[in-house]
Amino acid sequence: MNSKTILLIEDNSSDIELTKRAFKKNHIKNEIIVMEDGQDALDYLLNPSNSYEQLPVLTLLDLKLPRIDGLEVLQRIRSDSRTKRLPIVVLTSSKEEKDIAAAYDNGANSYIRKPVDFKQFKESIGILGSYWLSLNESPPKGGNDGYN
Amino acid sequence: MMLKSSNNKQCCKDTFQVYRWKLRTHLLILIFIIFIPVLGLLIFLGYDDRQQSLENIEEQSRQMFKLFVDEQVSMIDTTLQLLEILSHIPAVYNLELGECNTILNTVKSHTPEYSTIVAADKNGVINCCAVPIKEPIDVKDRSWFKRIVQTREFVIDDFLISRSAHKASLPFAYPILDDLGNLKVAVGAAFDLSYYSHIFNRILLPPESVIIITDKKEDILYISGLSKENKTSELLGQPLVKIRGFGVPTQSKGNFTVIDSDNVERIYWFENLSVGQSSNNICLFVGFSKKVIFDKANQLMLRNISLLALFAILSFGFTWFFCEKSIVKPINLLVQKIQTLHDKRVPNIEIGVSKTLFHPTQELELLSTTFEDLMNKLSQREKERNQAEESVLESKERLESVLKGSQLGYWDWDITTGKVERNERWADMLGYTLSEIELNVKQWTDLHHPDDREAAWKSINDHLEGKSDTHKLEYRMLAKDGSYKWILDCAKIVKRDPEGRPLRMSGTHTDITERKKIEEDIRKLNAELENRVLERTALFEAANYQLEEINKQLELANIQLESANSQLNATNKELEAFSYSVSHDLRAPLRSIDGWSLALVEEFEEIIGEEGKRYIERIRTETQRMGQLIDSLLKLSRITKSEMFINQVNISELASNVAGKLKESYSENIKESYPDNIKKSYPESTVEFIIEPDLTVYADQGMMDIVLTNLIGNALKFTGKQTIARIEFGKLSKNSLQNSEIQSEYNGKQIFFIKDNGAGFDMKYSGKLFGAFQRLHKESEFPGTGIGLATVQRIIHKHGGRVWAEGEVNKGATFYFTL
Repeated sequence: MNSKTILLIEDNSSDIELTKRAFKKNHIKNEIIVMEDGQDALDYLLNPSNSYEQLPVLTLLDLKLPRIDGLEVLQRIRSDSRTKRLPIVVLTSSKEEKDIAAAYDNGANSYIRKPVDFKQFKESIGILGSYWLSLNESPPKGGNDGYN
Repeated sequence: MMLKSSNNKQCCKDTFQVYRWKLRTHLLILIFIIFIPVLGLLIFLGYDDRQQSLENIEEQSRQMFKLFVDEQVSMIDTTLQLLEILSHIPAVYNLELGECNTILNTVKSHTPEYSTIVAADKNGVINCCAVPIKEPIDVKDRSWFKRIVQTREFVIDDFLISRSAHKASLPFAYPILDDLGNLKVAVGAAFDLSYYSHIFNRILLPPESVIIITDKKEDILYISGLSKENKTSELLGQPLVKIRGFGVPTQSKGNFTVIDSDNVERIYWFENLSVGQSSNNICLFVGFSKKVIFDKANQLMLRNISLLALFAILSFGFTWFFCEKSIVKPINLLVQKIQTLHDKRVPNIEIGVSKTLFHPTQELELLSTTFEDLMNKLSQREKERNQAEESVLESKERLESVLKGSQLGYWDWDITTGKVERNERWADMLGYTLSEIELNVKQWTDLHHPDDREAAWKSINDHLEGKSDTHKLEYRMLAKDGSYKWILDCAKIVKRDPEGRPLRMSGTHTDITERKKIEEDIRKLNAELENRVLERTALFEAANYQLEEINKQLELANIQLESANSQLNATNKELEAFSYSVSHDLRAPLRSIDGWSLALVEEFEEIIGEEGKRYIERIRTETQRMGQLIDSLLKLSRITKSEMFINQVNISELASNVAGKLKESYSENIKESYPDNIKKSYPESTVEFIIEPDLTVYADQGMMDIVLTNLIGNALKFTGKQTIARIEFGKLSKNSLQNSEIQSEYNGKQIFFIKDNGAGFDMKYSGKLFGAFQRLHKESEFPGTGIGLATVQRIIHKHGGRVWAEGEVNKGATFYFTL
């Protein structure tokens, strides 16, 4: 497994493919792992057999998800010591103030509204990728390092 | 304490003089009292001295008695020895006449205490004698001889008084017996009692002392000390009672006081004694002159008392002098000063007694300084009183002028005398002069309206009896011209005696005739008014009834409204859920359409061809417009349900910010994103903003931002084809209110406007301007969702304001709004 995987938590198949396409168009070649509902995503992330290196370098989270919705997924990721510093960018259609506030309150690192215009979306993904994958310093992996 | 009259002053002067006399007398009495115990002590000491003297004398007499008894015993012993010695002399016991006489004579010459010494033979004849005898003396019938014959022992006989010789003696006899024991010779000796004086002389008796010895028959045996010596011998043998006037007391010893024949009062001590034998009882009297006894004590006492008297006189004199100088004079001086003060009434004078005297006492100094203080305070107080009097006078004058000015009639009723004082105005009120008014209450009562008289007196009596705080009453009084005047009488008790009984009552009269007239008019008017009110009330009640009916219906409607409201709330919630869903789910497919469309162009550009690419571009444009529509709709619905936070907002500043932001995004970015065919019709335009500064409103800042963004955004959009775009924001000034709609809208509110010189609109369609999805321009000319103005209107309505627009095609548009 590539050490710099991107986790996409998204249930809409068009969105999944278009997002992947946007990454590809921006020449971001990191492996993209897709989880189509909240439960799957949590199972994947909180699996204790996963080593720290196997955790994704960036997680893109939609808020509207089957089974467990995005906000709860976020909450549970943040309450686990291993994943509490995981970079998570909320990527959703909603622009409701309520949603934005809740996402930040639960520890989202960023909140991006998916524009209808795919060109704009593509640009957003490009900026997102270059920011989180190269510009941003990744947090130290895990949480059992004395800071918890 | 100001003395007002000379009488008072006189009285006080007298008081001071009486006081002076008293002070001195008191001091003298005090000193006298001090001397009394001394005098008492002296008298007591004198008495004590006398007692001492008396005791001394008594002691002396007692010693004398003892001495006498001792002497008596020794005399008897001596006599026995003498006679024994004589009995052993042969010449004597042999009675050898010559020789015997010589011996006896010789013995007698050596013992003068014996008046005679004899020797008698057994027959009682004396041949041998110390004194020459012419012939033998027969003594056989003498008691001493009889006794010696009988007893043949030493005999002490009874006292013998020789009246002829004026001598008293005590005979002794000693027997000389022959071998057979028969009396041979008796030797006798007579003790001369006058010899006692030798004994008594040894004791130093005070002058005028008397010693008397009597025998058992109370005849005098010895007497000494009474004035005439020669007579004493004559007294021998005389009974004591006869001579001295007192007999021998029955007690064995004691004392008594008697005035003697020589007029000397004496105290006699006496003691019954016996000499030699029991029949020889004698009584010894020692009398001391009382005068002599007490002389010394009396003299001492006299001297002491004299000295005391002298001291007392000196003391009195000194006290008198001292009192005069140190107390009376300073006090007089002080009094004089005080009187001077009273006379002159000079304030702040110094009494200065302390400085005028040589030796003032502390108390006097204190008194004078205290008095100075007192006088200072007094003068201060007098000053204050004068001021107070002045102010009283002033206030009295003021009161009078007030009374005069206020047209008040004044009366003052002395209840005890019945006299009433009034002022000119009191009389004038009734048309009289003051001289025509009697100084009593009778005339006042007579002038009352008959209907009011009783009430007037009742009010006064109520006040007098304490039932009311004041006497206050309106009544009618007969004026001189025969009319009745309404008088307001207000009065109060102003003076009471110590028991609280009223003494004086004062009050005022006010002429209220005019007022009464007006009141009467008002009363009439009121009555009329009441009638009218009654009429109206009937109508009103009917109306009220209808109103109540309406109210009931209204209440019913309210209940319905409430249920409708709760339904509305439920609906609103549903709507919220709906719009959330719209924002989320409606956009997702659009995004996909756009995304896949673009993918199609990118991946199959060559196959699709130019025509195909254009179609796909149209698909994407529409998709994005759909997205915008959804967003606008969401914004609109959010405004409806969102809460408002009203604050003071600087709307000019807000407009500038919005304009700045929009200028950038519209004229550059957004214009660029317009389809190319539209973009072409837009010339390069310059935008000119004119924003009136410092306009403020109370509104929700966020919402006002949306309003201005929409309106200014619109203006920008519709001026897009102008070379010089002019957009103006401001507040309508008063004089610009020509339009009737504006005028009616103004109504005290601020009217803001945004004016542009853009495309404008046809007023025909102005009604459509603010409807959602309503548009007046072709999409190809001015793109838009048609929701912006609907949002503006909703916000303005939410603020309780109105928004409207004026415009003309190609001549710009003006949007007005109030808040």
